Amino acid sequence: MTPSTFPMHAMAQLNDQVNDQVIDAEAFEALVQTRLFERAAGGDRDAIEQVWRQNRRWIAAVLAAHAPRGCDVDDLLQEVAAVFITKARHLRDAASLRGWLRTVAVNEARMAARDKKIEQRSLRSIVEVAVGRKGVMPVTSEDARATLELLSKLPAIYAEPLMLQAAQGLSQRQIAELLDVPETTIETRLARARRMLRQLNAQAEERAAGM
Amino acid sequence: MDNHPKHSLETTHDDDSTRVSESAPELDRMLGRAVAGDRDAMLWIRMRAATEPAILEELVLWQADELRVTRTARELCARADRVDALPSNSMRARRVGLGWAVAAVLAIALAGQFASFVRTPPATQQRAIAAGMSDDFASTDEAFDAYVAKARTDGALVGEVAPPTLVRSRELGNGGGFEVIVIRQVYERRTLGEMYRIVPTGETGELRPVVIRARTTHAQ
Repeated sequence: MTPSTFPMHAMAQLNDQVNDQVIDAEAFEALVQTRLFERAAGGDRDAIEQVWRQNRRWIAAVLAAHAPRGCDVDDLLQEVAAVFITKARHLRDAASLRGWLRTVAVNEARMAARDKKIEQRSLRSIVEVAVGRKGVMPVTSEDARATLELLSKLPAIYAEPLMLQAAQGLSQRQIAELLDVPETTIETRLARARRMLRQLNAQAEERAAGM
Repeated sequence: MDNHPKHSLETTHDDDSTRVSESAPELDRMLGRAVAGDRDAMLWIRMRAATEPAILEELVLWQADELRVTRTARELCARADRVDALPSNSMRARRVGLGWAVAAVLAIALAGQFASFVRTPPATQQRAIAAGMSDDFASTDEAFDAYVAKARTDGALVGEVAPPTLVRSRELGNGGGFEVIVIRQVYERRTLGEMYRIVPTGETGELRPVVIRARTTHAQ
């Protein structure tokens, strides 16, 4: 969120606070985010919605990296939103928000994977998959669906930074902070993810050429 | 090209995020940086391509893969942008299973009921009001109407009763009609001696109620 989109009354309060102080843009943005977080933690519906909108894209990227194949990311994202609304008041620290949201997203994806395993054991599910009613991620383009299928074959630790970078444009440093690993590890994982994706694409292209 | 080790997808990976011993071949790192737009990496690849032209082909393939991932991420973002934390009115409307047809029928049906809020209460309702909020009602609707009438008389009802909000509906099957879930809202006015504000206190920021007393010129 840029300061220009911050509500005017809150902006006035911030101006009072930073009056006569030299404050750089990054610190000001952090202050704005902290205030927004406090409002969200206090139950302010607009603030909750605003915080959610700021974060939902990268959360979708995390879900896409961790969710089992054929799982609807929209549904999982809605689950994460529900947890966020319920628990937002209990959050104490704006700095820990992203890490907490990621944990919620990964847990939702894991639960979906577990449910999927249980579901796949049932005969009914097998029949439904066979007739094409379930097990298809509803993305709009065939190419995107195919790419998501390939990404779901990558180990999550490699798919996640790749999707975070592509979806939210996060820098390697930001991804490293979010995943709590060194920045060099992120570069390595990104390189490996791209190499694996190339192998998978090459295999897919070979299969397509052989048909 | 096979001048670099390939990573097997069958390899198991532990999820220990503190592990720092991961490494990737230098070529993969440079290709990764190049597709991300790093000029130095691009220069490195061009220099190496002087002796290994296949590297340029590899770069093109990586760029094509990156483009696919970016397009996929864009679609994912578009889908994410449609998921709000708090359901809006339009989302509630989308969740109504049977759509506008049922909503229209419901509106007509409820219009009759809500008209009773403004017209003179029927004789049975007047009896009920006269007798207080007893359980002497033919239906829950009648009891609700009696409550509204009583609250208006006492000045406890502020403004208009909000129109009912349709939450969901479903067909009961076997000609049993429709089950319709609505929210009926009333705006009440109460007078209180004191109120509480929930504020974080202490080092842990635990939420505690703090009493707010009305200001007065009288000594307390």
